[in-house]
Amino acid sequence: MASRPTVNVHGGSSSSSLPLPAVLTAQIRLDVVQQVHKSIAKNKRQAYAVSEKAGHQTSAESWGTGRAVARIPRVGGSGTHRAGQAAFGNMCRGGRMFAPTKTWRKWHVKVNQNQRRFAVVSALAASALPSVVLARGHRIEQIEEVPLVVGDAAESFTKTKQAVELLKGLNAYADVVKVSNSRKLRAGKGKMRNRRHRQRRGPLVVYNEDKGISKAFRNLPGVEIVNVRRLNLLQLAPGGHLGRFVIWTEGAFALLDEVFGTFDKVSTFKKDYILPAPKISNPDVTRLINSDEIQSVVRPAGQKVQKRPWTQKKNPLVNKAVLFRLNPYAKTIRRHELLKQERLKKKNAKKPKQPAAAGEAFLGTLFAP
Amino acid sequence: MSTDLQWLLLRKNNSFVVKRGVEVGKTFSKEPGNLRNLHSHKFSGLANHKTVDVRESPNGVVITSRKQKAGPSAVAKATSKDVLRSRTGPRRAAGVVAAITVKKAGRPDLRTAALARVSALLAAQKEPKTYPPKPSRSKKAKNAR
Repeated sequence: MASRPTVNVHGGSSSSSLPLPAVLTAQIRLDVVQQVHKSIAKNKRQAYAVSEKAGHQTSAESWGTGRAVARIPRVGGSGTHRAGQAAFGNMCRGGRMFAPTKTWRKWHVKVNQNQRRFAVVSALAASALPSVVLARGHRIEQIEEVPLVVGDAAESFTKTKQAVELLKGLNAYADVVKVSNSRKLRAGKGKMRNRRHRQRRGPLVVYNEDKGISKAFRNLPGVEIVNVRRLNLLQLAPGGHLGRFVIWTEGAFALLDEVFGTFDKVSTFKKDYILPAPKISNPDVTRLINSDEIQSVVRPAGQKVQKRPWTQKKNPLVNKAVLFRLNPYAKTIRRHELLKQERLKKKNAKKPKQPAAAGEAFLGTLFAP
Repeated sequence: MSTDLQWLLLRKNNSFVVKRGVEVGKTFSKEPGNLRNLHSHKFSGLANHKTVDVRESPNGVVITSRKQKAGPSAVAKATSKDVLRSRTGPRRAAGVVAAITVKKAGRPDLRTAALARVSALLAAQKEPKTYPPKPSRSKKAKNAR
C-alpha cells in the first residue's frame, strides 16, 4: 500500500494536512447500519394507549338464547337508540378495540454495544466517500474534497455570520440553502404537535471543543452540531441512509483515531474497542484479477471463438443438416427408413397386368383365312 | 474503495434514482454524469471513477469529465469542463465529444452513449423547418377565388 492518504485542512490561513483516520477506511455495512438505526430510532418514542375504560362504560348483558338475536352483550333499558345495541366486543359499534394498546408496551429496543459501534463506524466510513454523500442528496458538487476538514479557528466562532462566511468560503453553503428551500408544512396532525414543518438535513458539524461553535451554527437550517466523542448514528445516517455530509474541525478530525481506535490500536475513549477487521484487505475484484500474483498463474487466453449471435435460427425438424448435427443417429434412422420404404415399394408394387391371352376359338376366328 | 462496492451502496436506493419506470422494465437515474439516464453501474455518474457528462447550457453544450489523475476524495477539483461553442456544427461536435469521452475521460465504452446524447441535444436546439401553408383543396375555397 502506498503512503497513508492525507486530508487537507481548509478555511485557515496556514495550509496543513492530517493523516486519514483509520475509522474512515473501515468496512461499510449497509445492512448493519439499517438494522441498528431501525432499533435505535425506537428509543425516543413516547408511550401511547387507548383509554382503559374505552368501550366498557356500559352495563350491557347478554339476552341469552331464545330471542333470535346474537348472544353478544346488549345495552339494557329503553327510550334511547342505544338500548338493545350490542356492546363490548371488538366487532361491535361502540365496543372496545381488539387487544387495547397499553402504555406498558415494550417501547425500547436493546442493541448490543458492539453493533451500535459497528454501525457508527460504518456510517463514518461512508461519510468519507464523495459518491455516497452525493447520493444522499447533499449539495457538495463545489466543495474541494470529502472528508471536509476546517481549521480549529471555527471552534471559537460565536456569531452565525462567521459560520455562514466559513460555509460560503468552503462552497458548502449550497447544502444549507437546499434545506432552507425544502421547508414545507407537514401533512397531518403533526402540525399541532410541535412538528409543524419538515425539511431536509444539512451538514453535520463535528467539533472537539465547544468554544462557541454550537451557538454559531445552531441557527442555520438543517445544520447539526455534535462533539466528536458523542457521534450518534441518528445524525450520521438519518433514516438509515448512509452518507451524511460531515464538516470536521481540525481538532475533532485528529481525535478520531483516539475515539475509535485503529485496526491495531485500542480506543482510549471506548474500553477495549478496536475497529472491525475487514473480511478481505482488497475488495477491488478487478484489481485482484489483474494483479501479478493471479495473472502469473493463469493460463494464457486461448483463441477467441467467434460466435455469430444474430443469425437466423434453423429448425432441426425441417433442416436436415442441423438435425444431423444435433442427433448423429438420426442419419442412420433416416437411411434405414428410406431403405425400408424402398423394400416395401418393391414388394407391394403392382405387377403389370398380363393381358389375358385370347381364346383359341377367338383367334382362330380372327385370323381366319 | 472499489467502484463495485460503491455501486452496491447506491444500487438499492439513492436520491437520484427514479423507480417509476419499473413497470416498463427500466429504472432511471438523473444524476449528472449519467449519459443514458439509466440506473446501472456502467452508466452511473456516482459509482464510477471515470465519468463523462454532456448537458446543455446557455453558452452551448458542456462536456464535464472527471480527471483521471484526480484522487478519490477530490470533488470540485476533479472535474474538467469543455464547452462546445454554440456555432459548432454536429460533425465537429460529434468528433470533439468522442475524443473527450475516449481519450480524456478514458471511457471508450461510453462513446456511443455520449454521441447519442450530444446529437440529441443539438437536434433539440435546431429550429423546426417552416413550410408554406398548403393550398386548400376544398371546392368552397376554389369557388371563392
